[in-house]
Amino acid sequence: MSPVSEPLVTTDNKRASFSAKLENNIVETGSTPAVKSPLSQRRISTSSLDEVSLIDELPPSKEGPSNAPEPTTASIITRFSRSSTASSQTTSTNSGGAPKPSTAAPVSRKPPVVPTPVQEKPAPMRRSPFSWLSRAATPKEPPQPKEAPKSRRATNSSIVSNASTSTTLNSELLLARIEANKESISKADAHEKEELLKGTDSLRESFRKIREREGSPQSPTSTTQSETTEEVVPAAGSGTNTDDQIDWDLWQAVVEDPYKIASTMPTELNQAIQAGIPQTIRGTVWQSMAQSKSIELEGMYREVLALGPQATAVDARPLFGSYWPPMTAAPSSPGSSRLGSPKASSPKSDTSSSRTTFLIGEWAKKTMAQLEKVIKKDLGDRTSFGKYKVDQKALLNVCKAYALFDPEIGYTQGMTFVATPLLMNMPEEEAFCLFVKLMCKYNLRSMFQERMKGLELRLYQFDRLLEDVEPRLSVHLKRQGIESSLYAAQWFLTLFTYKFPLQLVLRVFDLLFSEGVEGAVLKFGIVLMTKNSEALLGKDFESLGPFLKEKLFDVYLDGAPSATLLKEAGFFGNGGEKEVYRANLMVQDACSVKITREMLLKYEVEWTEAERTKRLNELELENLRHSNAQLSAKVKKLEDELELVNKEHIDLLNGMVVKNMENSHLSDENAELAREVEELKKVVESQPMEVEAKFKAELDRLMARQLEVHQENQSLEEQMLEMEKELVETKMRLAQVSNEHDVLKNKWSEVKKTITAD
Amino acid sequence: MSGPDNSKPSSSVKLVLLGEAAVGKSSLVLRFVNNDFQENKEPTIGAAFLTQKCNLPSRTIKFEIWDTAGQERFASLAPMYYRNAQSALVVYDLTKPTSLTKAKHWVAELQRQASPGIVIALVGNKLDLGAITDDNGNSLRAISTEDAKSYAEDEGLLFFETSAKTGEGVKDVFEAIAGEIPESALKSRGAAGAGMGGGRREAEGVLGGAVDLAREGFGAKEGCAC
Ligand SMILES: Nc1nc2c(ncn2[C@@H]2O[C@H](COP(=O)(O)OP(=O)(O)OP(=O)(O)O)[C@@H](O)[C@H]2O)c(=O)[nH]1
Ligand SMILES: [Mg+2]
Repeated sequence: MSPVSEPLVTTDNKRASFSAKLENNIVETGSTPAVKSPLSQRRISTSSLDEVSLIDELPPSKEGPSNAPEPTTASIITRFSRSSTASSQTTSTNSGGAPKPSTAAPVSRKPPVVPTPVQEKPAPMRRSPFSWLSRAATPKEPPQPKEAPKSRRATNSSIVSNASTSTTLNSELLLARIEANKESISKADAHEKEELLKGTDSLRESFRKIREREGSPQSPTSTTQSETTEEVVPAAGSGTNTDDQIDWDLWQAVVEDPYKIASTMPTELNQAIQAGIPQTIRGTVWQSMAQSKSIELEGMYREVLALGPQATAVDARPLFGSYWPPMTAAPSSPGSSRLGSPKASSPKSDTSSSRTTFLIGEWAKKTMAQLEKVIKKDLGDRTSFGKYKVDQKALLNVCKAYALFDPEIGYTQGMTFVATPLLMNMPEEEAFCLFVKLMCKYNLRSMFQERMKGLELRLYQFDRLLEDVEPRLSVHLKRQGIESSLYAAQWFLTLFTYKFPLQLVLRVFDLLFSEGVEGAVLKFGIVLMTKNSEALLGKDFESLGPFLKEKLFDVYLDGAPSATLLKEAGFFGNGGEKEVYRANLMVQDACSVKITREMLLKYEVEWTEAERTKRLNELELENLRHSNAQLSAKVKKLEDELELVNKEHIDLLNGMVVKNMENSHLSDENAELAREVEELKKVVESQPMEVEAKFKAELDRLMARQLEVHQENQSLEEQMLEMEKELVETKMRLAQVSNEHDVLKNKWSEVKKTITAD
Repeated sequence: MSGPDNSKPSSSVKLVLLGEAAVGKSSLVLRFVNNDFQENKEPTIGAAFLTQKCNLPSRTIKFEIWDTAGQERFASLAPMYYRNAQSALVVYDLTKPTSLTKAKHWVAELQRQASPGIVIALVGNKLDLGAITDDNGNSLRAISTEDAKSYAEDEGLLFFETSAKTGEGVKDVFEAIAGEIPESALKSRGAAGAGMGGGRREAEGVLGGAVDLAREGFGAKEGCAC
């Protein structure tokens, strides 16, 4: 594999200019033998595209170890060279007539008719069946280089190449889908097979009726719609072949056995689809391609709707019999890669686990009446193409019945949008069956499932494809901060029915039923981006928003619609859409976008890996958060403790300050006291002498006084003695006087007596 | 919105709208961007995005508005949309109690998972219905201004009541958010996301200030709203 040894890392601008060139001049097969595989360049980086520079401002990006393991690159190149070989081979085969092997076998009755090359092929891939398309070049591994001059074709150029070479290339997805369908049928039990046959018969029957009516040259102006369609159906740009040249035989063959046609005449079928399925048989062909029609399920649908307003999914469940539980076809169940896990593809393998978990959850509990209330909010003017008067009751019924059928999904906004185009093309019972098919077998369900992992995967695939096909645009959008989740999520969730013109939406559905949801949506998505890339590159965030939402399809506006188209538009009323779009061109362009199952698978593997890493990172982050929280708690605790200790410390300090203050106070007091004591001592010492002196003086004074008093006393005594003498003298005189007195008295008495006697 | 003033610095701010289905997120955006209202707005699938300028005295803020789908099933997509958002409107319908519960979930998720420093406004929409009474004379309003406001204060959110239908309060929300965006969180397009991690601490600091401002704002709002 010489191209592989080419250095993986190249300058980005080289890469950008390279693909820019590709955009404009399509490199024809084999014209550039020496081109080093652009894939090896393309693999530079997925994750860090925002660092990628378009001009020479950055050094060559140096990531790579994680992104571009050599073996991957090698295998891609192998694959690409193989498929380009395949294309040339098939082209020639087809022009020479139908491919020989296995084609004649009627599909539905037999176990998978595995084309011969599969057995020859050493590759263990279980997907191998459709590689029979590239019969001669199949072996992936060593033998391959010998068989085909490798890298003959500039592989990148083939991603968007002209329609003629790509038609065959791009039958791959169609075949893959038919193959998958066939496979699931082969696994089905007898009952299911019988149901399928009945459904097919009934579709055949209605096709025949339409053909009789429409196809008869006597009634070219018949205005009758398909008998299955009561509502007025808009033109939907059903293609130029409506009036004149409906290839009735081809379409009849499709209805008879879509697998057979897809495998024997993929080019013709693809071209017919590119020209548009004629409106009159569109509904029938869709159902045929999806193999959705089931008279039994239609009966169940009616029975379920007849349940009372209190009925829930639990009540509805037995009515759905063996159709229950709804399963997502394996490939897109998130995380399960189709590669090498054949178990995962068995629709019944995880039945037991899901059966038990199925009837819990919010939608399982909702009654019919509650469901109705929820869904009704989204009806009327809130649906797409509301103006086309799709029977709102039927729309409600289909959504309601589906929610009862599949309580894990329930009703999700967006479903009304998807169901609307179906109801425009068939009666509600059939629309329900087809809706169930779309959800379960076409994997729409995985996008609506909890956490919408299916959608994330599709968006990832879209991002990667955009990087491949339009690296400049991809970088520009990233720089502007526009992610596909912003504008493309609704493409996948509503299959373009949300904002886009109905005439184009129906064409999207044509391709989608034949090739599968992911292929068709990716192809249309990529082609819309490609066609608008110049316009988009010139816009910044502000104008990108509205543009991506509503203007993408404008590149297909037909400025001067042909008379036939106008007539057609007028004929169908065109459902109120004034503009006429070049729908054929759009489908052709979409079909020329080269998306192979292997690319999708590879991106799925990448995504799964990225998801795993993301989960691991999240887990680690969670762990870190957890330990962080724990540590924070610890820190908090320690802080609390510290605070406590601090507080204690402060208390202590405070206490000490108080004590200190007390202390100094005391010592002051002490000093004071000492001084006082000293003074007192002095006082005490000086006192006795004073006292003695005073005492002596007093004593002296007292003694002198005593002396004085004594002398006084003596003198007084003397006086007293004198006075006593005086007294005595006096007393003696008194006695004398008294005597004299008595004498005198006597004398007196005698006198008196003498007188008296007288 | 007055005419652009080139002398003022201008910067883009990513704003994401979250909230239960049908609370009026898309209608608020439509009112803010086109000054229009549709009675039957189709549900948002995935997300929608629009831009609108907001002129402040000191600078011009260009909002990059990411409007998300409200139905529960779409919730898992939300992280894709609020990644790197500098501001968020968490909307509830003030006639519908469950919608406030849902709004609280969103607030918690944003506080846990979104960019640190994200400015969050809690918005009670359908204020026009709050003024209407049913046959029994009960107001259609199911969530009182006080309850929501006190919750918003506890969580440090801006708080407004609006009507996308009449336009009442709608501009105020965006202007208040524009005013709260910390200078440090403003980025110029092209260096997308580069500054987000580094300015974390700073942003938190500023947000801390913003909260207080916001609270002061409540009083002022009351004054003129009634
Ligand atoms: N009376 C009234 N009705 C409103 C108001 N805002 C929105 N509505 C109506 O409420 C319905 C839902 O509004 P949307 O803006 O689609 O709500 P949403 O939150 O974007 O809903 P989702 O996209 O499904 O999440 C519409 O029918 C609006 O007309 C309002 O302020 N007053
Ligand atoms: Mg909305």
